[in-house]
Amino acid sequence: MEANIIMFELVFSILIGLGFGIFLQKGRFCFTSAFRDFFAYKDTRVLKGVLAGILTMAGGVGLAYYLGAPADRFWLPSFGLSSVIGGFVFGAGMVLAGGCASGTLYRAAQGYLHFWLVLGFTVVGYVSFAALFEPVFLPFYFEPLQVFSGASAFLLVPRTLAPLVAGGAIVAVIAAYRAVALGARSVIPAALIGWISAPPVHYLLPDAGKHAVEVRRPKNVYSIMKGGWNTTICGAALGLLASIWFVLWNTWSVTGPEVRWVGLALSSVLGAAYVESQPYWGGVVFAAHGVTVSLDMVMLVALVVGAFLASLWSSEFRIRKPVRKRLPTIVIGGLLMGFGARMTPGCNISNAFGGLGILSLSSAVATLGLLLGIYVTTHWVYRRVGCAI
Amino acid sequence: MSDDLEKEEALRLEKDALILDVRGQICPDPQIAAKIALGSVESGKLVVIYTDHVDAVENVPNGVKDLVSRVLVWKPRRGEYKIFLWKK
Repeated sequence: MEANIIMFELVFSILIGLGFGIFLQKGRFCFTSAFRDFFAYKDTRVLKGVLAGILTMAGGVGLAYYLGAPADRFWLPSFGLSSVIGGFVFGAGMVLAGGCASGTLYRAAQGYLHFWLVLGFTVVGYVSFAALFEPVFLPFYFEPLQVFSGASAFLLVPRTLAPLVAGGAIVAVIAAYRAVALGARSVIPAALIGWISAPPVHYLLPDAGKHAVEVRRPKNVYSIMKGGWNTTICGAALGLLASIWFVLWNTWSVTGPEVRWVGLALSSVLGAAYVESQPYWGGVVFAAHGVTVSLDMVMLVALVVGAFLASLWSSEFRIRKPVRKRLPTIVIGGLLMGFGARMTPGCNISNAFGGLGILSLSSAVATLGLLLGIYVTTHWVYRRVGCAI
Repeated sequence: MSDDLEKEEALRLEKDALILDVRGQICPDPQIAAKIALGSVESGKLVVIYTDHVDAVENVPNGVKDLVSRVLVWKPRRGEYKIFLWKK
């Protein structure tokens, strides 16, 4: 009986991971682009996808929690200024590297050697951080700065009101987005009249700027399957998968299982007992489940495989060599992401997607730091041509 | 991905175009290169961005949307894309 449950969980983790990878690749779901290109030229292609994903997940999580999902599925770390600083470091790293935690993985899966290198330096960042955890980060960074307890809007009210909380959050975010995109007067129609009279997606998440460009894209089933997919729809699909993942395991994270794989690899060289005795590896990374392969680590491998298969199917897999002049940004970006993911803690997925999807206060603060880091670094990267925002 | 252009039409258009080979470059370099290139040519001129970066197919046209009147994409081979940008 227990073996059947384990098999069921394993198969589901693989299927959900494959789904994550496929929708990330087909949607060209780049978080770096979502914010960087919004600041640079008000491009909302991926931003709308991210919002669609967060809102879908909030709805899914609200429903799941209402129906009985345990409260321990909510990832609510302590937070404080450390979350902002860590988020800033990670955000800067992801703009320099050209990809975030998930973006690095799905592009490595498409054959980008650039991102294999970024991944390598992210791993160096993890290991370096772990070595510095006890002497430096714990006493001078986490203890003074990570001082507030985590919280989720869902857990502040009785379980039966969870769908209401989700609904309120969804309406508020859509109204806010429309206000920014269309001007303040649009807030009232969004909240009151609703989306009955217009195609829901375009009414709820309109483009921030009009496209004055004729982009001819022939549409038949074959070209749709072989080409890129609508990023907003992919975002909603990711949100749905993340809701199911919430029930099966916990809040969706990429750098979480990623650092566990690094620790597992270390333990195969240095021994599990040694790794478990280390303050960061044993005390934080493997504290919950020990030095084993957990379901989230399976999900992560499936994510990479899913992105790889999607790129093969679309004839987009190709070993792409990096350019030499990007080598500094690869090294620095990778290191910053490695450190930033541990300092926040979390990445773009666990904070700006999963964390916001569960309406987590700690993730909201971390996302603020993330956006700040992306904003500053975007202005530096686009310094030759300037930014719109 | 399905092409907007046939090979013969694409090669014919390329003869009178400014072609930028940015293969190997990833975001945001193709967008920045496209923006600079479009700034350097006259109105109506064709700029072709030759890239192997998947996201560039979406990000380059979006990045220069205020500068161009028309965008078409041709895929010469697996994993490679040529983005045809006509300056306004």
